[in-house]
Amino acid sequence: MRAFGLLFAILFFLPLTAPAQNLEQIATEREAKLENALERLRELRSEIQAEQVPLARELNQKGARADELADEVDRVQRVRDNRSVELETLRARVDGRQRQVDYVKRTLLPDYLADYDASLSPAERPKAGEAVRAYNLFLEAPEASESEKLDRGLALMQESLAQVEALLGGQRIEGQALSPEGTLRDGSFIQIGPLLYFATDDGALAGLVEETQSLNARVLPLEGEAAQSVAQVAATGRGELPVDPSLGDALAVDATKDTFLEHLAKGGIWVYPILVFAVVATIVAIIKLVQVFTIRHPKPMVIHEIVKALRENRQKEARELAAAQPQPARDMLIAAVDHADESIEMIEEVMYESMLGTQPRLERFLNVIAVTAAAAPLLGLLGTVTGIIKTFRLMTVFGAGDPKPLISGISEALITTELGLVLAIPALVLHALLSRKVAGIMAYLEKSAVTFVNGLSRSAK
Amino acid sequence: MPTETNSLLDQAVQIWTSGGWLMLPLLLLTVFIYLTAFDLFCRVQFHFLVRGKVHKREAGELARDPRPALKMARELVRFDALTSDEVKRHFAEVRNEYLPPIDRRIRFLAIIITAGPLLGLLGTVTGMLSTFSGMVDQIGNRFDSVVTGISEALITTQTGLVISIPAMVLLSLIIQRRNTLVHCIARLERYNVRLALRSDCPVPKVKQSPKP
Repeated sequence: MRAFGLLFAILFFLPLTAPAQNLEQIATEREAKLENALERLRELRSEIQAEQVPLARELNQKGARADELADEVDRVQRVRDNRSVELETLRARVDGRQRQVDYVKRTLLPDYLADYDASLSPAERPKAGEAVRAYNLFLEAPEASESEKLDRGLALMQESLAQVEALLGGQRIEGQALSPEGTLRDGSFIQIGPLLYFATDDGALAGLVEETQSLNARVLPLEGEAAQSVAQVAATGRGELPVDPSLGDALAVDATKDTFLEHLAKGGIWVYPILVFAVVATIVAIIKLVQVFTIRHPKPMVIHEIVKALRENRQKEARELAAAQPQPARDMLIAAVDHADESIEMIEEVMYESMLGTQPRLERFLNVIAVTAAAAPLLGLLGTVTGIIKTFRLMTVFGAGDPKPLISGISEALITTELGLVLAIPALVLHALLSRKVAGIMAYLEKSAVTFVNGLSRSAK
Repeated sequence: MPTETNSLLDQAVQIWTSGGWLMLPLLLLTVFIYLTAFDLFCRVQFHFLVRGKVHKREAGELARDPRPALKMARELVRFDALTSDEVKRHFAEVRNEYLPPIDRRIRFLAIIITAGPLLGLLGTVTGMLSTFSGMVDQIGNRFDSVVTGISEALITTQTGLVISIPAMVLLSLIIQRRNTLVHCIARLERYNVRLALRSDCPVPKVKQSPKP
């Protein structure tokens, strides 16, 4: 293009610049120049033509390449976008997994292992408990990596499962347990599931094992055949074992049962007056029962016979008959026979007097039983109130967080009330019984006296 | 045992200070019960008839024993009576003289003895009420304050019982003595009737007009 410009410039400005020497010269020169210029023009054109084709081809090629590259860019862009999305999801998944692992590592495993440690029997504790402790120490260690900790925990869990597996079939473990005397004895534990036994190596001590708060378990020794079989299993690994289906609950319940004396001793100081009342009232009641219920009454016909003998003036016979009667009627009848020759009023009088001597003798000490019946429940209540006051005072000192001491204190305080009622109810019944019996005896005596006097007064007419 | 008695003594000292306002009425009641009881007990225990054991005496002893108590008993006997009815009337008078005051006091004593535990219970109830009402507008360790309140409220019940139980035993003794006194009077009456009927008197009986 620039070639054309140059050409035009030459064609235009040449006549202006060239001095007009002569036309011919000028014409030829022009001619030549024109030729020359044309020649150059042709050359230039052909040159241009020659250059134009490859250039155009090259241009086409470049354009195609540019398109290709643009496609490539698009594709790569897409790939990159996909990659970033995948990375996000992967990151989220990794986070989720991490959380799961943390939960297992920080919560599940420690909880499980703590439970496992707590549920270990005294037999397993020395070995397995040591493993749990070592694991806990390892968790505290600064140089341990997280994955190592996890691996240790999982390994321990596997061990615990293996331990449970072993218990299903039963196992023997060397160990130490406290004898009932409180000495530490070497021997071997036998554990099958939840059942635990212990036998010393010489077989002298064999029995069930009781969990205690202290470091070592306590042996509840068995007797006779059961002990022999436990010792045999401990020695040889074969044999039969006695089974406690309540898993020690029966023994615990049995341990809470106390003897009567222990029960009383728990009641506190007010038990003693109640016991004094009880002893005195019991002694009195026995004496009175014997005294009152051994009293016999004369047969109804005997009175008439005595009267008949008196009427026929057989004084001696009448007196013998009267003397043969059981007490207290005997005294009354003898007195009546002795005074039979006097006035009816006098006979009534002596009989009445004899009865008057009998009544206080029968009623004596009955009031002891009555007072016992009245005072024993009150004494029991007093003991209970005192016990509750004491319990509550102690609770103010030691705090009221645990209800157990409160409950046991109140239950011990109630012992006296129980005792008081146990004493009062029989005392009431006995007092009523004895009073009625005494009244009955007196009524019978009176009836006999009336019968006697009536018989005599009829004969006197 | 010695520690327990010590604690009981301590309690007894503490009781009067930590039982609340009802301890004062309880204290007054205690004094009242025991004054009445001892007065009554002395009245029956040292009554001349009981002292002379008249209910166990034979006729001869009643007639001649020189002891002062028996001399006083003899003054109750009417030697000039001629019929048993006369004697009966006379002894009804004697009974009326001695027994009703004693019986009245016994009834009264029984009532105030039962009042002891009731007064104590009243103290406990009012103590618990104040404890619970105090609980409503109190912040802090509630349970502890309730425990303290109840244990102090129970002290009055305990005191009422401690007062009443010995008094009951005493009352039973008094009633026993009173019955002895009744027997004594009955014994004297029988003796007097026999005298009146002149059974074992050598003097011949006065002829009485036969009753219709």
